[in-house]
Amino acid sequence: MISKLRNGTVAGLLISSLALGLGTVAVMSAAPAMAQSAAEKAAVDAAKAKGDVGEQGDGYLGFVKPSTDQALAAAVAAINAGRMAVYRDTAMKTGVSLEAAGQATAQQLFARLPPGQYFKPLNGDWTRKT
Amino acid sequence: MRSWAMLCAAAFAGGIGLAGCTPTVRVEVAPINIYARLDANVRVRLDQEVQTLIQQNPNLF
Repeated sequence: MISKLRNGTVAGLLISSLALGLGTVAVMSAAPAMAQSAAEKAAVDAAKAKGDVGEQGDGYLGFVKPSTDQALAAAVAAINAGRMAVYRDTAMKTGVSLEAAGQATAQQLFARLPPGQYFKPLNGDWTRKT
Repeated sequence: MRSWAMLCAAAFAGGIGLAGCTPTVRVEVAPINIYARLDANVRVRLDQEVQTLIQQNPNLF
């Protein structure tokens, strides 16, 4: 009787710990992704403020000057990949091409770019916003 | 007077000939601005979607 109860308790504990474990896994997989992109955003924002990274006419980030910063390069690549995904969504929703969605976004990003930061129009050179 | 007219005609023909020979280089500079060529209605809709997209993705923009 006792052993049966104990077994039942153990099983209950196992199930609850399994559920807890699953919950933890779910939280853990969501949390680093968010933290990572926030860190990437911070790195890119700092580089934009320094004039090392700027906004391109195609809707993606680009290097105004060559950089050896590997972490920054990874951050730029990650954000550009994320942008491509949302451009694809918008393109599908509005029935335009992926390129058009990126270019449309670039127009708005240029407009809201703080003075002193760089943008590169399609077929143009890096320009410092005044 | 007649020679002047002929000279004029020759110059004119020469001009045309020269223009005809001038190679017209049409280079479609890539990347092409596709956005600018969109239908106005589509562009308005796209602009609204883009505004939302920027606001909803603070980690990307």
